[in-house]
Amino acid sequence: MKTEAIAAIAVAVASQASAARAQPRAVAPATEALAPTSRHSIEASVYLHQLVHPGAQVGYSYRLLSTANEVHSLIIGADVGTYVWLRHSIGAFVLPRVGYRLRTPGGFQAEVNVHAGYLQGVLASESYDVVDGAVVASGRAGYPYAYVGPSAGVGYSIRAIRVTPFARIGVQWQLPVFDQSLMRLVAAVGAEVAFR
Amino acid sequence: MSSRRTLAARRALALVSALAGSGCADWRAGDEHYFVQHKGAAMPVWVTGNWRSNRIIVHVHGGPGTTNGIYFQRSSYQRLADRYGIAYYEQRASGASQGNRRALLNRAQFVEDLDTVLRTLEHRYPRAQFVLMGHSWGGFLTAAYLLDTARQSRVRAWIVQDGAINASCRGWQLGVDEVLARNIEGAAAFYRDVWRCDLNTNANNQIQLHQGRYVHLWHSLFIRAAGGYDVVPERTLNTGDIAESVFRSQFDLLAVNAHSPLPLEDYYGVDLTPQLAQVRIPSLVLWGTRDFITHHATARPTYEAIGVPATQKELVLFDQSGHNPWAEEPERFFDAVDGFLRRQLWAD
Repeated sequence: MKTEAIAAIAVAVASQASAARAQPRAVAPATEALAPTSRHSIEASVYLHQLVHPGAQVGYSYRLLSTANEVHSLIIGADVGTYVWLRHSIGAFVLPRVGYRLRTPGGFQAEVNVHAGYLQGVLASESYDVVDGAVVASGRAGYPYAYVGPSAGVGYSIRAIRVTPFARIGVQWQLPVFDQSLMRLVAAVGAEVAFR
Repeated sequence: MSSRRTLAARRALALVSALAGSGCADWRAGDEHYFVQHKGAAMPVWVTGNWRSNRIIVHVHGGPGTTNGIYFQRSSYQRLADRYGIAYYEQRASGASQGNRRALLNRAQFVEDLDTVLRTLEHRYPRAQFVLMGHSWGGFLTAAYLLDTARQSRVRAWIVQDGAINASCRGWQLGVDEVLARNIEGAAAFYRDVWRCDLNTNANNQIQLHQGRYVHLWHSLFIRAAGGYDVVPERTLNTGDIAESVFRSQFDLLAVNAHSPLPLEDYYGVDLTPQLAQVRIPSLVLWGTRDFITHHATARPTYEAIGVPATQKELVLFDQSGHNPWAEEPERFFDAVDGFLRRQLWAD
């Protein structure tokens, strides 16, 4: 079953690439061959905070504007996700984004995005305080931060099955951390699925 | 096909292990980790090594505003951890500590924080004995802590290494003179036009900004350019250690650039040396003879001022070290600390 699915994807990719090669400048036929996808899509990815702290995120995207064949598109969307930094913090974020996407008729895509949202950090271990001379447990309280930064990514759109595997890398500024902004390297590797 | 799957599975397992291991650098079986939450700051405490010996060194890092993430990898600290427990705590607004606002950046609050950390350690390890070890600014902080008799009773001994005990303008001037003697580019103009530190009144501008950086940070950069931090800088920070600290440890080395030096009140311009007579516990003073930032000339006055007889205090100088003997001469450093603890506290 799994082998059949892989074969189907391979055929879809091959036929799409073949169509693109056959009529690279024939606008009308290509439009027919590459039927527009839905404006709506969802995605899921592995999220890597500081490139090594593991996490995951899911997102929704809406193609707000695009040119013929979706070569140039303005995408808006939002992601929710989480990551774990062992013995430091657990982060959970809601991250709206706006981005530009270039997608060639052959399916290759490149994108740049700006993300701006909210990050809730939670302490990764138990905590204590001293109140009136006595040590008391303080739970795992955390701190709220703004989470802002750009990313860039690449992907490959397999239109026949409406799936686009992608990889993004970027930086996010976490603030305020004691009134400072701390830069974090982030990456995401996953797949986007367009609605019908 | 099977071998390919096996290879892929192994690679996936290696990747997962690497990711799961982030935050684990030099973590030992049995280590403990918790936070002290106090007045707007969550300060992580990592208790590593042989804490079950009930002999725990409470490590107070430098800065103000740096981290323990530069010490723990060194063989000096690793060997100490083989024998004793080490409690590394990150100070407020420093390293991996967490919080939103820079409130309460003053000496009294940092002393209170250290006391809070010690009380939680006493709570968690009720049979343990504690030794305070402070490096650089941590030397000043531990000295300030010990000036209170009740607090001093919580610890059995004090170890100060290249401590900023004399943070007066006369203390900093020793480093200024070293820089000027070496004709470091831009230094003469900086100390003439920007630097303000009155040798008589101690009025100073150390935590005022000059071209986006605190004046004291500029001073530190000139000291570094003059070779006054390390004889061989790679012995203190090298690429591999930085990468491990950034990508595999619980520490937040990148935060240090944002935090250090903290604009801390009641530190710059203060000399605690005259008050050290109040320190009446066994004490060890460690200093690199090439140190210009907490100048080596302040080592002996620190040692002599401590209020215990010579049989209860020791001074060890490191000829091949600047500000960081723990990194530049790790074997001698371990021998000095271990020998002191065995002689003064724990002979067995």
